[in-house]
Amino acid sequence: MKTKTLITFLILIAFFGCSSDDVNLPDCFQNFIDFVNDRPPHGATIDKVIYKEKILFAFNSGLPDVPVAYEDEKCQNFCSSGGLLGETNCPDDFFENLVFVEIVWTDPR
Amino acid sequence: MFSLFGQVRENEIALKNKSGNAVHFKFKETKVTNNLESVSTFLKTQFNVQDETSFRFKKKFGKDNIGFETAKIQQYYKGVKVEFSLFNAIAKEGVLTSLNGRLVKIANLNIKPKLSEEEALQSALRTINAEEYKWEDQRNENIIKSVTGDPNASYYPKGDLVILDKTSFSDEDGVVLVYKFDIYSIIPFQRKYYYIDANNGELIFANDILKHTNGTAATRYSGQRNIETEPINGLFRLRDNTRGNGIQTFDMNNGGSYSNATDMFDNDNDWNNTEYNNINKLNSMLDAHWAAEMTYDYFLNEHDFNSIDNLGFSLFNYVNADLTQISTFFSDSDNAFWDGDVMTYGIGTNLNPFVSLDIVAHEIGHGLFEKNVCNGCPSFGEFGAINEGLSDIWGSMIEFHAAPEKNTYSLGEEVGIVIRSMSNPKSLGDPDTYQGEFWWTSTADNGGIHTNNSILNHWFYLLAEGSANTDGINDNGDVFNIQGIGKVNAAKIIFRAETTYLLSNSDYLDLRAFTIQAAEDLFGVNSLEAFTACQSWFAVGVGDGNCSVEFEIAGNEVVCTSNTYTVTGLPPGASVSWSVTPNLQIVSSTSGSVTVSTSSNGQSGTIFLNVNGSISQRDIWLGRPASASKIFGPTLVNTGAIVQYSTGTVGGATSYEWRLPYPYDEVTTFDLFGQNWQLQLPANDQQIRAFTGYGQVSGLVQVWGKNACGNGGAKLLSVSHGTGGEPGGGGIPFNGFTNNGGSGTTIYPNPANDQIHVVFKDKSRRNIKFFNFQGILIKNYTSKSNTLDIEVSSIPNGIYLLEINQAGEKITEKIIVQH
Repeated sequence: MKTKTLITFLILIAFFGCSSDDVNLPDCFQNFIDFVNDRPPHGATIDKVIYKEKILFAFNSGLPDVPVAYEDEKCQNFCSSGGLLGETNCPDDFFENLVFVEIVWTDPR
Repeated sequence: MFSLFGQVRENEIALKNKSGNAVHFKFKETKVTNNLESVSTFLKTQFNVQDETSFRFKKKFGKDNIGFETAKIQQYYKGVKVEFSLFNAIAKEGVLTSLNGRLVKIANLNIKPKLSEEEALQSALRTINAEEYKWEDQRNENIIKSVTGDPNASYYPKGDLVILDKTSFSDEDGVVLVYKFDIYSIIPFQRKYYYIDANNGELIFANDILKHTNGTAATRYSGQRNIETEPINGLFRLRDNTRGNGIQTFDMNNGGSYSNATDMFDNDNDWNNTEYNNINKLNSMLDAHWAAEMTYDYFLNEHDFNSIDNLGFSLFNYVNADLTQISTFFSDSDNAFWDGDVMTYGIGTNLNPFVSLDIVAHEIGHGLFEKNVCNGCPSFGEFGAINEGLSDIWGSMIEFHAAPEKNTYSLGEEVGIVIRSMSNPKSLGDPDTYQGEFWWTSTADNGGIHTNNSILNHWFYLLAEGSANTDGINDNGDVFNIQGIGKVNAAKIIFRAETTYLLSNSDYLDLRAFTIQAAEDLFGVNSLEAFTACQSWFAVGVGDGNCSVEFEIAGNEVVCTSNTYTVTGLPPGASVSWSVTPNLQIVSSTSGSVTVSTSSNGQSGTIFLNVNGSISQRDIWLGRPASASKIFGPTLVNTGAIVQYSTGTVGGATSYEWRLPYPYDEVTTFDLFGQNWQLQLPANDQQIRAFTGYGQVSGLVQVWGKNACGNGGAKLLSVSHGTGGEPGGGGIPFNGFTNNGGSGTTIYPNPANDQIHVVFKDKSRRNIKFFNFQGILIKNYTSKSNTLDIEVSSIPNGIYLLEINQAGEKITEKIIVQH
């Protein structure tokens, strides 16, 4: 677990451009990574995406009935999609205007 | 009056055991104060036992909620605990009011064991002989360390030396010094205290730890149901130790912390509405527990599968969760999910708790998928839709299995919303045709896995129930008419496809092939079930409509005037019709048979059978065979030659008849020097081999086909004497022919492929050796016959030597083996 945490830590330091002394992951990142690490691996990812010039992060656990959450840099939830109900509360044009930028984090296990 | 049994008055003994010993005192005049010394003194005096017997608190005196002081006091002998010898002491205001328990009288028992603890354990394990023990799985070891907070904790058994009174569990008397072990095995799944004789290793007694009992539960969505629970400390909790490695249900208490999840206890195992249908929605716990039990039972009973991994995987329910406290990416608690280990059910925000039978089964279904298809694969695209569709199918089938009165093909209606309709997906805006209307193309919901799964859902519905209640046309304009094969068989097909064939990158087209294969495995190639699986895929737009199932139409190959043909294995209620080609007439028919007649000869006809739209056919021959049209073979032959003739297939012939230039004599002893043609192979086949003899060889070779109606027309081939003079010379149609004229021996063919035939001039004792070219003996024969066949099909290509020794004379021939 220590190794996994270290890898996660280093990837996110690279992303946020912080030194190892002052890195402070946004709550939603840490919360998501904790959630993922508490469970068997399912190819979880955090993607950086842009919707109409708004930077968002897509938190995808890879679990079948768990929704994908789109949150901004301040961990404000923008919208969600999926879950057992298969519902989405994202804007109608959200997915057609969603631009993938990069993968920020992948489950290293 | 004082009791004869000790210091108390007779009327202070409330109960005696069958041996007449007091086991319950209700004190009226006798005063015993509430401390260990007083109680010990009373017991020793009352039962007249020596100082070797002593007593210790198992639980010290403490006040209960109605003012009584209660304690539990354990008997010891020479410092060794006496198992099951425990007293409940009840006091009020410092004085005992009652004392109950059983004391074991022990005298002269040696408490020094002959066996060590480890020796006794090994003896126990030999007796149990389990395939796998709890401590052998490191995951279990990690769990117990985590649960106890003790890094040294282990399921590996530790033995306690105790004294066991046999009367406590049998009719036998006597006390035994034993080791007591808690031994937990996974295969078989059991956990017991084993009492092993500390002197000889014998098993004295085994006592189940994993206890269970039947309870009744007033569920939130499914009414009154029976559940299995676990008794513990006079209460019951939602743990089922009877199914696989167990089913356990925990209350998340409307929170998000798994470590704070708790058991729910009941005092009488009657989990009723008054207690649990409340603002905390505690009856959800009962639904989840019962539904998980039903899911386990379904897979075991219907598919002979032990939980989701066929190894009894433990099913853990975490109920009434506030999902938003589990992670911020849950926007509410209207959800449930499988996370690779356990099931978590939201308490509901806008909807009711997500613990309906079909939803619980749906989530456990994801576990089945992970354990058998792909462990840890991300759920995305068509593969993710298949995962969701399979879970919907299990949700519906398990709901039908346990509660057939519910709406089988509707998912989730009890939580307040119909999540999906398997019978009519479009009614909820989900597609019923692959890439048709409502087909999800964006990346939302991981590529629409909870939308496009309706293709699989609807396929299953059509397969099981047929298309009678649908419009019978899909978005591609394809018209279909499907007779369902029933839920049970449909479920068998999809279960086998999922657990046997499905792969981590499968899409719908793959699944189509896998389900048809599974149907063929289960019900046979060309079975109606395989046909219907294929038809149903066509109906949802996956694959073409080229589905066929062939029923075997049984009856004679040839019809002379009339025949009856039958078919078996038709599904109940199948739509069946018969038809024939114009050269046949149908005399009569039922669904299982047809009688046809004909006046034709020398031609074929066909009978057609239409079962639910799938056509089977049987080609038959009408009347006598057609005329033979070809004879292949030499027209110039030598005397003393071996020749081969064949004919092409003659329509309608079930056998062939040949004539040779001079009436042949089918000899078993080959006369190499005979005058007439002789047949070497039977003449009822399409090919013959014959010996021309040394007499007149010219004449007609003739052949015709035969069947039950008579003979067909003959084909004639004129054969005349050829040139070359030597036997085996010109006109011989097949490979090499060696004649060792000096010895009168014929060897053929050469080169040889599978056999070398050797024909001697007479019957004499001979020794025949077969060498390879390096002089190594390969085969060795001694024969008195005038023929010999040497098998060479398994001998490598090459040059060999055949050596024949007869009456002191030796001849050698070079043989080529060429495959």
